[in-house]
Amino acid sequence: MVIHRLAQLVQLFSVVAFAAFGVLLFANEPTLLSAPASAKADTPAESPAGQQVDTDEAGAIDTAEDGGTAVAVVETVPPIDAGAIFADRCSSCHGSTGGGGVGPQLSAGQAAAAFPDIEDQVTVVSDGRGRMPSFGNRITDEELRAVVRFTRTL
Amino acid sequence: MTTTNAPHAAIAPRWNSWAPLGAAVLIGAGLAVGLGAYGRVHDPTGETVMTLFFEQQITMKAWLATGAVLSVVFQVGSALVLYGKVDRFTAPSWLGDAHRISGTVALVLSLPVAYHCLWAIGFSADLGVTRVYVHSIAGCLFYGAFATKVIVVRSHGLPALALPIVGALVFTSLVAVWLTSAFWYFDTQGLQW
Repeated sequence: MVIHRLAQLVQLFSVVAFAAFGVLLFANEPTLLSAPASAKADTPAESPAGQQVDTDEAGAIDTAEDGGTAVAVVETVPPIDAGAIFADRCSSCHGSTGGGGVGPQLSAGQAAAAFPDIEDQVTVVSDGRGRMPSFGNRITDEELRAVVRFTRTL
Repeated sequence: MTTTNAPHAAIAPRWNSWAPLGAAVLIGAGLAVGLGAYGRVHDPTGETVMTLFFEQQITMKAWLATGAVLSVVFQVGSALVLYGKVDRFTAPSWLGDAHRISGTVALVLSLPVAYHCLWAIGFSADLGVTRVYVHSIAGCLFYGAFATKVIVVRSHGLPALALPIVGALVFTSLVAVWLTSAFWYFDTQGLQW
């Protein structure tokens, strides 16, 4: 019977899914930054010898063989989408609109009220506090400050 | 005056039936405590691994939890029909398999939710936030009860009340999880994807 076979397949899938659940709980490491983004931006980019590297207005890299040394690459940094970072990193605890949940409410001026000095909020987000994880080694300093500013506008 | 010899099996403690039940309960309790301990000890990552076809992790969790609750509601209803507890309904031949599928679907739907809860947020033991505290306890209890039920339903000779009690615990714990998370979310934030 088809439904009997389906039940067997679903149960088999559930066993695999539960095993994956258990493995990922221990094996999946959080995404950590290897180096601050500001450091990356300050580091001169390398280019293959013998190639001149230029960028156009859109930031695309142009290369030309001229036998000389490479010139610095101008890196176009995409704008930081603080809302997307908030949705990805913060909304599961603070709510999709900052209304609170596991974590305290941030919207309606609550973030600014709790942290009159924005640097205090930056420190908490960066270092963590209580059950709140530290994000200083998970997002760049620019992203962290952008999302902190974002929370104060909710 | 004559006496009759009552069957010893009828009056003697049925240790043979209680021992497997105790083992099933211990395994379930171990799983529940283990998940809670993991959520408490593990450093929460605050990250989102997947959102499937939803916009955010929290909406994914809310809708998957809702799907899981609907599945266990069907589980209870189909179990009542299967055991002849509902008048006017006779169980069709496919209902047993549908019952098993619905239970499995509930488990599968709950896994991405539990994963994000445990891995990204952790177990909250803050008594000041009752909703979250109850949610944490009920979430761990659900998996423990589910494991116990899987063992009980596949075991023979257990006390007759074992299965309905464990099944009710699965249902109650998942409904508690849903009320303290998805329902709360939809109630406060509105229906979102």
